Amino acid sequence: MKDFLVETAEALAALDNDLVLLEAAPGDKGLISGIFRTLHTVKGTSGFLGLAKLGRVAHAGENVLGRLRDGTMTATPDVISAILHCVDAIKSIVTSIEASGGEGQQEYLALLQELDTLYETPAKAPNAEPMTPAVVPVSQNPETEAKPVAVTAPVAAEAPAKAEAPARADVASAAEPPRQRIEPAAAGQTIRVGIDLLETLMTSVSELVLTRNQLLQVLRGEKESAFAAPLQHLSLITSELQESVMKTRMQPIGNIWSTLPRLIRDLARDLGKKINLEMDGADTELDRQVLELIKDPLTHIIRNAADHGLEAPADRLATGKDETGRIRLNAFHEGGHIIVQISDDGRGLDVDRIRRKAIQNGLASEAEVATMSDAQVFRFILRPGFSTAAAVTAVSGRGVGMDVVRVNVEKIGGTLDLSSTPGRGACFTMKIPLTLAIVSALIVGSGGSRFAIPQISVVELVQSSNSGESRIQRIGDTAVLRLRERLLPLISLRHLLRFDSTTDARPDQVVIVIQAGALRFGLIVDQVYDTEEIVVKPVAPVLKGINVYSGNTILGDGSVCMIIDPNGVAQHLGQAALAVDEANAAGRIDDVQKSATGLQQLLLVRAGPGIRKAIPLDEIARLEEVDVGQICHSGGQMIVQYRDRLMSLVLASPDLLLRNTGPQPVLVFNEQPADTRNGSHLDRRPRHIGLVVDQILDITESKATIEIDYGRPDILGSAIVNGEATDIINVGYYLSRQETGTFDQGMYGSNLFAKTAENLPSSGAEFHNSESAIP
Amino acid sequence: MNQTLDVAAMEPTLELVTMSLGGHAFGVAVRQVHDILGPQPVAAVPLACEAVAGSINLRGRIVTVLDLAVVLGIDRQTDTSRALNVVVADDKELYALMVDNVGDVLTLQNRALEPLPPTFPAGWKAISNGIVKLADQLLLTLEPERILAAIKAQTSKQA
Repeated sequence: MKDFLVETAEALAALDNDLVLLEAAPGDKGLISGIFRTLHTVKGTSGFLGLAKLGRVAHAGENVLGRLRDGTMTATPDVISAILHCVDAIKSIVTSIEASGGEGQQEYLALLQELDTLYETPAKAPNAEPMTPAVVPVSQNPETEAKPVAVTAPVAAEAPAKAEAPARADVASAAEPPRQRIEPAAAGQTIRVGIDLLETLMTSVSELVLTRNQLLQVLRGEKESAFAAPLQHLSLITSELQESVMKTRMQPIGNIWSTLPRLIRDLARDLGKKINLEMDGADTELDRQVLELIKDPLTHIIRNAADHGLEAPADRLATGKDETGRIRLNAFHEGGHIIVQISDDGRGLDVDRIRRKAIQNGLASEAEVATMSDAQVFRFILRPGFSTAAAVTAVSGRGVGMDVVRVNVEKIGGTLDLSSTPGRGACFTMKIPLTLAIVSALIVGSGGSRFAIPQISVVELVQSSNSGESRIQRIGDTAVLRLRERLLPLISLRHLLRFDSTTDARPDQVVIVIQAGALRFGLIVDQVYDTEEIVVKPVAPVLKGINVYSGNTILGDGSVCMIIDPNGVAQHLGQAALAVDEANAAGRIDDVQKSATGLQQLLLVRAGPGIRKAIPLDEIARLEEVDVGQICHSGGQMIVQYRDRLMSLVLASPDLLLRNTGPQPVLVFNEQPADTRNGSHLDRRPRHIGLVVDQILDITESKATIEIDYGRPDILGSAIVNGEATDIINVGYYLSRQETGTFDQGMYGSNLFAKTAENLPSSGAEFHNSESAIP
Repeated sequence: MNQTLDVAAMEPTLELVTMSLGGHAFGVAVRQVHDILGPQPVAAVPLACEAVAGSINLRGRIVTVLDLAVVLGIDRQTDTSRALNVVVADDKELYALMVDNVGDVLTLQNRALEPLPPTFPAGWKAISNGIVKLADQLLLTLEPERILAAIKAQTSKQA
């Protein structure tokens, strides 16, 4: 019985897609046979198991499909809808059996009647216009890769002939080679394993790894040991085992996309729009658990795109667009995360309407809104209670939505961002961790205990001092961190965890700058130990109530360590947090005003002979130092390993001479490839490009008005910065010189589980801009 | 048909792991005891309720340690760093009860278990399901799930 339920549920999920495909290609005999066969199997098995109601519903659906198969009926949208409803009914009966063991109360009389009416209606004119939204999956998924065949005249011609000899058609279909859902070869290679078993396996492997580590520790103490070789072997096997077990948790994102063609089809029908759904990167793998958690947010965004984003066909034609709207899903790996983009080619977000609505809902004042950039205004739709839909439709627009989506994405340590071009469409970008089970975490010490902070929330580490640019300042009992002329609220981990209540007035403290949702704050800790890949385990039910922890873990040395939840800490900041949030928002506005007045933050460097040079700070992702010995030369290019990838280096001046040894300062830029439409997903990650300079001098805020333009491509021109002549470097020139990602292809992907040296604790000297700040 | 079975063997029996804490004797049903561990390095869980002493690593599983002395409001005789841990399972989740010492396993007949006299403090009555008269002292049987329920109730009261 259980097998029947599982198999039926799977077959039904595939049916949805097949039916949508059939709608696009009403003449596809293979598809019809496949669907027919599935329903037939359901009917047969339900008869066998004595499930009368299920049998009746499946039978009625099968009848109609029989008509389609022998060509006495065409798969018009109405017919497809009826069959889809039939599939839904079967699903709900199956769910009910699963939950309660019974077939449920509902009788599905209307549905049965509808199907019977269809069955008894004489064949419709085969040339009934197939007004259908086409759904063409671009995925590599073999299940959905049935090739749609255009409706052609032969179907019509054959129809009457087949109708005369239905018996013959039956025989023919039985003789037809079955279109297996799973390739026979593949079927033998897959087995069902309970999630519990996988979790147990995972725990055992984690423990094995710890024991291995302890053994290796012992081995290091021995001078010569007979155990050395076998232990090395054991160590290798353990690592392989760990990797394999991790992989068992991974599933392609296509698994949750499979329900979308049906969703889009139904939406298109309900809304009277034509929608084409494109899916790319369906084979991108991520953790089963994450997959479950992004399902709802994803569906919500797609609903929104279909409802609000895409215009009605008439409006689209009026603006010179194709009648059929396009929703595009794209998933790919990027720097240890999965990026899921949902874009549409609809009308885009209405900036003015969002501005008005923000003022109306009291989210911002008129003056504030006026100074905000479009991108800032767009983010309002991620706030609670914000809906700009002029009309509430059945699909969306009730004002509960995007904020819930954002919260859900942030809950799993992801981020949600959006961009939009009026009249051209909007694009939502979800950045989510590959897995929740293993995260890179910063291990810190406080009050004699160790705690883990998820690396994804850590923006930077700052060593505060009395004189440096990052100072802790106090007003009364409240401490704030002055960091690059921004004020950050501060909270001490000691304080938070109630180790002590005294206010530590030392000026030199280690501050971890944490981004939790919209709030950025500093967390004072006693020590910073290391980064470690940790296996996140949920906390015991007795500890569930403490929102400061998101879980616990066992560290490499076998000790237990609590994982700090940045969002929980942010909640502890409470009311104060909200106030600072506002202040931050104001700070951002400040930035905009500065750029309006022409003031710009510039990084001053020395590169080669001649006057000093300046680069706009917001274009730089990071400042790094690269050991000259690590630089390799390849095909006239200088490359260096940077964060497990290759970064190409260019000299900021043709006359610049590399040092012979030691660290060379490098400005790291992220380059987002301009064309995101073509090529494989590997190419779409931003590349790092390093601009080599001699010396980093200072950061200054100045008006950079070009006084002299030399007509050189690499220099925008010279300007007076802080009373000194300075060349302004044209970053765009260096970025555009880099051809597409020939340097780092294939460098990624395989090291998903390897320990990454990424984001090692750094001294206060290095600073990290949040990557999202780079346009 | 088969009436030859020994009547005494039919009588339901109770097997208890005995332990001592602050001079008192306690017992937990053997089938509920998962492990007995010697002194363990306990990682603190700040902000947790007082009865939670911390967590330990039991072969890759994280086990929350409960300080029974705090739950019962008595003084322990050994330092917590030398305390023994009786690991009990509650709904798949493991908890360790921190006690002074662990003794033998006692096999008793069910009828030896008597209800707690009404004069016991409510906190004790909440976590015990009976009292057993031993030759030299009284033994209180503990129900792990009731200990947890009591702790949860305490936590919610604090909140």
